[in-house]
Amino acid sequence: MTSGSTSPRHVCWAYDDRAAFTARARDFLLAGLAAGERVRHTSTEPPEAVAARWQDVPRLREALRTGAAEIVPVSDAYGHGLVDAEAQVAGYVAATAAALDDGHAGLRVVADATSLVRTPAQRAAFARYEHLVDRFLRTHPMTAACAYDRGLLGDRAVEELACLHPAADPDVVLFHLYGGDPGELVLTGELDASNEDGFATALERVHVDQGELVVRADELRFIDYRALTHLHRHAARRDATVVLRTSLAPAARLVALLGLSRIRIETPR
Amino acid sequence: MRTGAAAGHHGYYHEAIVYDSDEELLAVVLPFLRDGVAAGEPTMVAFGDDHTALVRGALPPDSGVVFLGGGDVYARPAGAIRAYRKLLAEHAAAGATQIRIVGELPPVAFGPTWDWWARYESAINHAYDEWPLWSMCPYDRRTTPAAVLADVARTHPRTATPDGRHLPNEAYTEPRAYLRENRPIVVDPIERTTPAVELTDPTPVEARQAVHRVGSGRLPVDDVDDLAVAVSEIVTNALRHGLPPVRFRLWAGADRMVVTVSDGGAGPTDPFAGLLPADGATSGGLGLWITHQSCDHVAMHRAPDGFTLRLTAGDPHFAG
Repeated sequence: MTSGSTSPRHVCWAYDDRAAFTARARDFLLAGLAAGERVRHTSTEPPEAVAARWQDVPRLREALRTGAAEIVPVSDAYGHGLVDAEAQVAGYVAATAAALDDGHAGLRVVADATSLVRTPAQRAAFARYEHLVDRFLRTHPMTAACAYDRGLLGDRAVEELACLHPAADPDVVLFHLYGGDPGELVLTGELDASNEDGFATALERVHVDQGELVVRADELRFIDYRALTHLHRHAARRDATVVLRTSLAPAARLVALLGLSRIRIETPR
Repeated sequence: MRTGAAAGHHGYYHEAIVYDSDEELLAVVLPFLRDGVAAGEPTMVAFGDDHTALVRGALPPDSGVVFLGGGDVYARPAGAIRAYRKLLAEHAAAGATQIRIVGELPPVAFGPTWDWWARYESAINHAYDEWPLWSMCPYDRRTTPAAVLADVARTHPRTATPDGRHLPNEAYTEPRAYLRENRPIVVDPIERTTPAVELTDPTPVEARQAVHRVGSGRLPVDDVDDLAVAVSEIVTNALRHGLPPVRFRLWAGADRMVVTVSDGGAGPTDPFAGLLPADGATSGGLGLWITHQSCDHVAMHRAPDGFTLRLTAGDPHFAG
């Protein structure tokens, strides 16, 4: 199910069928319990309804009783209106620390975030949060699956958010842009005319420190002149250069052909 | 001040030379070069090995003429235009009042790839016109096909003769008119075989996957990657600017891969499409230009029922 390259601590699900989502969420959380993690279910469904469903699943029923499993309404977890990215990540930092303090191996969350990203402004705020939390997940014992209702949101809106995860369901998004080592981004998948706007938007939303930006694209399968031009412009706005680490030979040729002076191609090893 | 026959001319002064012997070639080229150097004009030769040796031997060692090496310059029309435009801009910026170049296409250009070189010879009347360039393009009457010589007369405003005249070519046709004509395409014999892949209305991803699947291990990795870039652009253009259905066909031979992409539309409206980068990235012109920079041959054909573009990676010089 994953199209990213790193261990999928942060995955994006796009669902068309609510029943399929609840079944998948249950299995995801059961896997967390099996690994000794505290698990949390977040959605717009009333907690009682989720708990009632779990009564048929002994492991979840028991975990709810002991506090190893939690059901948190989405409004409690994320508030109303625009998400506050920094505060939200701080909340998960604390929740992960608490899970560890309580003797768990980590925290695992499945969150149906559909209701939080209905408008463009909501999506912009939530996309920033997705990127920030992704950076946290990369280095801490927290695992998250973010679910979006494709029927309600539409493919483009889901793509906007899915691309910021290291992994997503097949056919949801053709590329992924997410945090790597400090000061670095990781870019995977394929970039062409079909997703140039999505890539440009993603570039604006990911947070990186000022100065030279390293984009690890070792597993990038295709990049066209449009995406390279967006990278060049992004670097120009930052008054910096982008180092694109890729073994795709056409990337270097296109950069030279188009005079994209802000991009330096480095071939990995 | 410009000197010689181009004195008083504004922009590009483009001449053909059609010669019957080395002596005739030298009779035109040597005065052209000597006068250029004498006038302090940047004076350059882009010939193949044989004619480079011939001209070098006829000039003193420190003649002041610069030899560019024709083989590299004339690998692809769009690449030649890009390289020459850069060169011309540099000389003009350095204060040149006239730049002289004599350059010959390699004989292999007169085969199945002549259509894009014919487009080149026409397009440069426009592409080099912003500089005070005087150039000559020699063609050997004994070995150049008649159809090629007919195109030479239509794409060069003048012909320079061994007796020192500069004759207007009656057949000369303005590039915008010439480039809108349908150039005859020589059918690659591989197109008469069953394609390795045939797709209708493919996504660019599917078209790229087909190239990689068939090309992997057959051609050098870089060539396959470049073909994937070209195919991606051409399929994108067909989907965005053409009319359905878009048909993609891919053939693979021992020394080349050939892709045709056709759609029901009329093809690009810009007569210089592919040879010069288009201004707007949205028109599809930049993708077509990139394709011309990386493929070993690009042929375009309009038929009553649509437009077809053929890309070749590998050796495009098949024996008819």
